[in-house]
Amino acid sequence: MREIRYLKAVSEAIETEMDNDPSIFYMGEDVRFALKGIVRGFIDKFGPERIIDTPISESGFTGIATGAAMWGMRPIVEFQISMFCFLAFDELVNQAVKWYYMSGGRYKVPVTYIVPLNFGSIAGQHSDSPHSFMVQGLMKTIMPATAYDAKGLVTSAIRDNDPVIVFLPAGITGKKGDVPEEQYTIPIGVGEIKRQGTDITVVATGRLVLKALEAAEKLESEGYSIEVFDPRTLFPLDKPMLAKSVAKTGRVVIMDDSTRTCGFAAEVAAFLSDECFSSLKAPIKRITRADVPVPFSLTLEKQVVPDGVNELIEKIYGILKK
Amino acid sequence: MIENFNKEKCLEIYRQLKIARRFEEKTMELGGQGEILGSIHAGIGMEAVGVGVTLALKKGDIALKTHRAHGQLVAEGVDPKYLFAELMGKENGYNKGLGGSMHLAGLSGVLGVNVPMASGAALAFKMKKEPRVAVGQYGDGAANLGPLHEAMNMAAIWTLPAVFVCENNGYAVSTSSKYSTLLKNLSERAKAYGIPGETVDGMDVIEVYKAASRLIERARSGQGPAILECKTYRYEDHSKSTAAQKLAYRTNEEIEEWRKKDPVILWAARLVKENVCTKEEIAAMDASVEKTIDEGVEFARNSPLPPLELAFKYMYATECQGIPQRGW
Repeated sequence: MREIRYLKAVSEAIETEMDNDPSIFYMGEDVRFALKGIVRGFIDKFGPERIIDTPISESGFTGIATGAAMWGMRPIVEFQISMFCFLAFDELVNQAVKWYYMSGGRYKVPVTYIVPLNFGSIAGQHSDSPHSFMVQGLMKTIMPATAYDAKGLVTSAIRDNDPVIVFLPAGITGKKGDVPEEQYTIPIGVGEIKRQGTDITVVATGRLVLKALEAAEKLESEGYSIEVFDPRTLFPLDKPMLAKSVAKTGRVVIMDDSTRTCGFAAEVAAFLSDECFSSLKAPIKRITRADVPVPFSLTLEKQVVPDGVNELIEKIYGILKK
Repeated sequence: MIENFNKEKCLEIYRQLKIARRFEEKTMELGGQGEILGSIHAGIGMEAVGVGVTLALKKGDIALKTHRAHGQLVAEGVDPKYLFAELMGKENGYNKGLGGSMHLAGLSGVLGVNVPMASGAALAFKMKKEPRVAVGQYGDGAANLGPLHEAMNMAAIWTLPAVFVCENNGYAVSTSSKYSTLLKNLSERAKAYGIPGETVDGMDVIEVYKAASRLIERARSGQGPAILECKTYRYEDHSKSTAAQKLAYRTNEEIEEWRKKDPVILWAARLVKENVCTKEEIAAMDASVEKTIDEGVEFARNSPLPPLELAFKYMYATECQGIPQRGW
């Protein structure tokens, strides 16, 4: 199999779906020139009718995508940076998610939102991870950690008849991985055990999946057997797969970039204590973004955003060395 | 003949105005009796706008209405029985009891959002090369909402087949539009997007129809969107719940002045005065409307409540394992 970069895998998924379905169009800021690198060259192939540059009007164009979807199109909306979701919050969770239900099934809203996440000395309003807001808004939310998962999940997102938001994790979209040339799907709501182990389950999302694998590798030489569970879809969470893993290991660390309070890790912990309590041999531990905005100075950022490897190893020692 | 409408059509317009009026009045009555729960925003007094727009639509066109537009849905031809059933939370309601008064299909309970949604529908029509037009309606209050401006601008730059109808009834709940804008006419804002804007008497169904028809056909011919402001008035308070608070933001004299321009009464009077039909024919139409309304209410009353599992249906069009979850 050939190796391609994560971002190229996303791009391939979108291009192939656009080839096969004329009702798909792609809209967002600076998409004609593919500022984010996702739809590079698409303007020449699909033209300005299907690669639509928007003014800086996040709530407006998100609402337009909802309307277009309700009347038969399948829009893909790119948010240039993840925090722009906040500008369109009503359009996302109060309109797009709710219309199928409120209309008694009359209107479907098949929109895919592509949201690159950001980190690294850009601070504050440019370094947030809004995925847990979308999970709480009951929107199907995916965060692929590998190029292979990205292609399969983005394809599923585009074919899904509901709004689906895709978060592309910061720092890993340039990484290469094995990706088949043909189009394939990975079902939304199905996680993956990225590494088998017996001592502890690490639930990690997005970029932190790779950090968890790195930590697991290091700990193996010390005789610890770490299982890494990547939910891939944050909502709906693959609870059966997670429960099965925890039944085997009995110990859990959850690692995610959303905030400590009411973040994604909090929901995973709540599920485990509620429904898997009898499997647990130790308290559930979390590694999350701190409950402050991301500071600018890199020294301080490291106090707020987990690196992922060091914190995890420390947590695992804390649980297993008792 | 009035305009290009023959006697039959003139009477049909009267029926649309009357049934819109009676539907809203009956809804308020049932709300007062506790048969309809929740908030109700009545558009009594504003019927000429909804009916005028309806007359201007061609097959395939859509109008995304405000939260004050039950009457317009009825005028469009939705059987009142399904709307009464919806308002009573019944299984065979228009939205299966999942939406209610403020979220009927084509009505967003969040104000102004119909403008982006209608622009999106218009974008879909344009991309599919369908000769359809989308109307997005909003009030003088929602006129100040950000997404509405953003969408109007995009509709303009993309030459979308859309018409934005501002139903200016003078008040956003208790806030006068004289307070919320310095402009005399909200249609003047069209200049900001480089599109045409017009203001008409929104109490006159023919004036609304003529302007809407012209702007809709203009949009259909590929010349892009426009704003049509209709000056109108609601006789009732903002909603059933605010009425109870008796906020003194307007005078009885003002309400009475507007009642003199009543779109339903004046249209009937014009038909008789211009010898289009007789008083008896108007009375017969009134009786027919009343029968439809009464039958609709009875249908809704006799309709079953939704099965409990319906609360968990229609959450997702593509099913996924594990969702939706129950709360306990």
